[in-house]
Amino acid sequence: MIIGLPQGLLYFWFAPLWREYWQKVNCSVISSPPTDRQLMMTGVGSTLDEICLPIKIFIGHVKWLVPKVDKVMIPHLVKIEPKAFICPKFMGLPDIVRHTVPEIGEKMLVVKFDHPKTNFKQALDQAARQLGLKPPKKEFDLQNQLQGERIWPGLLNLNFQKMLNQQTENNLKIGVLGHPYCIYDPCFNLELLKRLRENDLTYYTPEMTPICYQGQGAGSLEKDLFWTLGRLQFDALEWMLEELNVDGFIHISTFACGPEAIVGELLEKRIRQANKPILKLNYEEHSGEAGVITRLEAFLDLMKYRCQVC
Amino acid sequence: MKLYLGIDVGSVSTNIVLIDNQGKLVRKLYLRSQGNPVASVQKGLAQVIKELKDYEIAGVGTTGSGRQMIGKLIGADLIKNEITAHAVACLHLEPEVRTIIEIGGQDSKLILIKDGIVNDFAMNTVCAAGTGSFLDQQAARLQMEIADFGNTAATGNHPVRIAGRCAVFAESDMIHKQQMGHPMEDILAGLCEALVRNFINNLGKGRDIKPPVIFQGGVAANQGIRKAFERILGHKLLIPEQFDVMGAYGAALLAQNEMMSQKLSTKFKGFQIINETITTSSFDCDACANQCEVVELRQGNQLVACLGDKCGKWSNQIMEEGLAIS
Repeated sequence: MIIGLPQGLLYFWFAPLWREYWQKVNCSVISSPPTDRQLMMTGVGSTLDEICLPIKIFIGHVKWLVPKVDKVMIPHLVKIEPKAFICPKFMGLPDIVRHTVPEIGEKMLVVKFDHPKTNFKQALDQAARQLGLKPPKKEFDLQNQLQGERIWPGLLNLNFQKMLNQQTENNLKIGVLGHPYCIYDPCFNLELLKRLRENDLTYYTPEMTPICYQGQGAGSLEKDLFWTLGRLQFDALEWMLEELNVDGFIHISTFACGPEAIVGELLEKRIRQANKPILKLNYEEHSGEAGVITRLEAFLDLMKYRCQVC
Repeated sequence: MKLYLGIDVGSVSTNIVLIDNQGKLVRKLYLRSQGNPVASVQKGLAQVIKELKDYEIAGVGTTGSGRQMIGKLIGADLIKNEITAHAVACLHLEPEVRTIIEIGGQDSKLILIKDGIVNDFAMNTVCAAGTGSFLDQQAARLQMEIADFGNTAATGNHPVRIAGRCAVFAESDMIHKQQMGHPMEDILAGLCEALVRNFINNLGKGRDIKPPVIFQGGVAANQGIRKAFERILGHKLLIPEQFDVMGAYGAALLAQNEMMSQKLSTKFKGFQIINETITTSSFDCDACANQCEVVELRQGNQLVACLGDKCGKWSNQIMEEGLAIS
């Protein structure tokens, strides 16, 4: 059986885990390719206009996969840690897909992650049983390699730790904050990370945050944040300010994202308190890069000037 | 005489300045682009060098949203974003400045200066509400010259309340007030006030706007907007003499600094460009799924530049050919 994984939303966190699981139960796994203009426009063309761009992109990936696989895995992420949620659109994702991609029909494979009712393995086991497959007895190898509860960014963390060691210390350092599907999808953010690399900047992302910072930043807020993606950014912010002492921040968000409207403001407040510059970039489906380039260039100039003074 | 050329290719206007070795302004020009940046640069260059004798262009800087295209076309030594260019020009003229407000055709910017450097900036996000092109549109709707628009607004003593958050709402609100019988000057004054409030909410966002405040960009010509800013901020605004060409001035200053400090010779292709036939065309590249919209720039029959491709398939090809020719 061929399982398709759409390369959108929290694919950027969980893909290694999902892929390993389905291979263990003798399925072959294919991912949709990285987002390109065509996939994006397919998604944009078939969804309601008020849905955020990352969901539209996800729909594009689902449409690409449907004719090529037996099942398309649609993650139904309700909760993945105690006392925190992702976003209502993630909870409603199976319904959104069902209505915007009717041709998916029986090919839709919903995997519901609802902590603490189901842990990751239990959720996937349930889905495997539905397909008449026998769940594997052992836990994930990947999960075993990690310590602590926050396994999801940790999956990426393993690779990032290697990357961090290779980076040089002489360059300007910049913290990139935002949701993983905004940061790691170059088609969405008009190749922001590549532009940073080309300008000889060393960048850090929330997913690189060491596990020991879990709860450090989010815990210091006046009131508990109940968005998983927001919490991680606060932990990352604490790490970037305290340990890395980065020279500036870029916050990426998607137009009309409810949670980020609040999280972004809170982050900005904290960053200003620490007297660091921040650039906020808000993305919609525009392909004109001029706006992003102008702001980025000006921000890099600003960071350089500020460094020369201090 | 060695001169440095600065060109700001904006959405609404194309501005050109010439400065000398000391950074003093020799010529300046503000031209409406009318949707054709290449033609307006050609026209502008022709005007700016008219009756100019014994000079040599020692460096060229471009800025504004068309900076890449025009930069490639004329052979710019330096291509700089407009935020830095505006700040550089402003600091050159007014070293003590703390706040720069710049409103152009499509962009509005707030730049905060600390210790003589840009410390923070904000730029309008997705929407162009409250910038010059919206004012242009409203003036056109009322069949008014844009210059009269500002003066009329400045005479309104009882600004009516207009929703300024969104250009579409603002327009319907204005029409409604018109039908209610409010006098034109009060409606326009209300619009100016709404736009200024929108600017301060959106870009200011609690930032400390400290005097001296400099107001520049094409919209600084608008008396109504000036008055509204002064009323709401409670500070007098300084408007530099070259307020409408500050971006170009900054680009020229940056080019001058670069060329003089590095002792480089200019890449400027010369003024013959004025009389050349420049055509642009675009096509969708179908080599991969990115579907880049590639723009080709032709001088006569010769392809001189390609822009817009992500991978460099087209733009690099020109560079290689260019090297082969030179």
